[in-house]
Amino acid sequence: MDVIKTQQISSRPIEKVIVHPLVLLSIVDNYNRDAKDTRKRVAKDTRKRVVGVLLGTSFKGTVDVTNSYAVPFEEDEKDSSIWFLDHNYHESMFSMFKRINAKEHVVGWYSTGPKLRENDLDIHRLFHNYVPNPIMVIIDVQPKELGIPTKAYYDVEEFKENGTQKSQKFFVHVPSEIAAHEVEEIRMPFDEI
Amino acid sequence: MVLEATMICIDNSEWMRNGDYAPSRFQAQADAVNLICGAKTQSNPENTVGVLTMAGKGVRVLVTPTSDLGKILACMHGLEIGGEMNLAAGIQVAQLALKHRQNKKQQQRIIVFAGSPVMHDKKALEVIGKKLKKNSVALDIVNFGEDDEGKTEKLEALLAAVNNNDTSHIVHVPAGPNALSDVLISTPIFTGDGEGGSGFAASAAAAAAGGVSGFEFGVDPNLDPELALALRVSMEEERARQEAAAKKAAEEASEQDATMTEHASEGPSGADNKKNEIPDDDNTLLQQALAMSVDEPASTQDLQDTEMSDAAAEDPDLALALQLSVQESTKDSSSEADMSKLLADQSFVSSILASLPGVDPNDPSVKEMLASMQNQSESQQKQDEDKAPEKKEEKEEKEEK
Repeated sequence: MDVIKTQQISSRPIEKVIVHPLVLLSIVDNYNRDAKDTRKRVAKDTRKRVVGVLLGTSFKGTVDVTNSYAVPFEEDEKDSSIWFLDHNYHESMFSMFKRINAKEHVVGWYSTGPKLRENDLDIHRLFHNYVPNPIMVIIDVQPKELGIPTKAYYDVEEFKENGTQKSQKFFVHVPSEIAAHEVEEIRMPFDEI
Repeated sequence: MVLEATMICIDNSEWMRNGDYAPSRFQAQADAVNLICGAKTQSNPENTVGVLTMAGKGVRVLVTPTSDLGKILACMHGLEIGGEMNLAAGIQVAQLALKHRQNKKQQQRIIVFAGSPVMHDKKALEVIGKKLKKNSVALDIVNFGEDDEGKTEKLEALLAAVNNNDTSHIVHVPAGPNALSDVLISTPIFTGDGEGGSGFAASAAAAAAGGVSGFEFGVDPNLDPELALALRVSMEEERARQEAAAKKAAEEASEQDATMTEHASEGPSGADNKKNEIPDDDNTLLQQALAMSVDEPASTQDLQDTEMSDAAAEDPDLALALQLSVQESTKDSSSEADMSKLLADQSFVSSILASLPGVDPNDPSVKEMLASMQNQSESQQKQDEDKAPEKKEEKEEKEEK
């Protein structure tokens, strides 16, 4: 298990998330492979979703997401508290990715949503084991309106004022943008995805 | 040598702090889990085992199905006890985990350790069971620890819903001196794997338990089955004898039942190993005991106790006799006189002796002893009658205190 010791020791609040086009492409590919044709009988708008890990770097409050991969993820359609994410798979996968690019660390995880779900906080908690301040990005693979398809969040703990109740975690939205290095600027028509 | 992917569901709820399984329920469970993992990976190298905890903050998968035994054992470290067990969620997550196994050819199996009360109702469990059956997942349940109303029923119902061609099993392990893992070794949970698994499990248990305490008779049944069998048979005989003697003693002195059974249970632990020596020592010990009881009973009780406990350790019937004698002596002396009369009563004594294994009432040495005892008791009776009023006074003083 790779626990990041060198960077992100100072828990500087996250101010911006930059998502690279390669990430978008691989997520969409993942979705097409795994979840596109599934149809749920229960809820109309909820389809099987894909979940994966985001790799990248974090610098002065800006998180740069440069790579990603999917992980085996399963959740019970009726009971949202029943979910399974193969973290052994993630650990083996990450150790392989580390070999090709040592600078890339785990920065968080993604989901194809399209919206936040009840167990997202629990899954987010799992990622606290790998990175001190993980981000969660929802990629909308079938966007209906114009705009960037990503929504980024990180979680904060809020203490109730009366102090008697356990603290709760909330997702806080953080601005995200799609940007790329020069070499990455292969045109990606979003309307075709 | 079935190719299997197994998910083990551990109960790490608050109920696992209890120490009725040595050293604690949780530790016993952990040992059992280690044993199972070892057995599974040994029986087929391609088998995978995964572990998840059902209590604590929620269902958490510690390790997804892997054949790396080291990883599995490592994840068992540092587990915290707390919370309540969520059986349904645990089983369902285990099922999801098995769904994502890497080798689709592996049979799916879930082993659940149910140590705390089951919150869910029977219906919900049955629904889960049916779903498991539909996905051809086998389920093994280890029912131990808490036994509240309906828990056994619910688990049986769950098993019935899952069971398909007898691939699923349930094992009830009551609290007791035997370790959880030892009990499990002999169950289909282990032996269902085949000979390879159980062989490993037995040898592992021997290694882990130091070879002696792990087995009931200090002998590994695998290594020396005949000896183990012989010991077991003698144990059964011993028990039967004890019961007969206990019944008799109960008739004569019914109020002493509690203490007698206590002594009787002390007896078997030492009795097995000294079985051969008993017939030889019987006569001398019996002599001692009877002499003691007829003799000055007011003499230091402690001395008597230590002597008796030594003797008692060797022969449960002897223990009974001694106990009888001691009990009688602490009561008022009038009954004490009766006791010595009883002992003097040849028929009574010979009937006791007849129930002992190595003693033959017709044996000349025994007859001699009886005769001498008879004489002793007759002379003693006169002494006792004199002492009786004195004793009564002493007793009254003691009672006042």
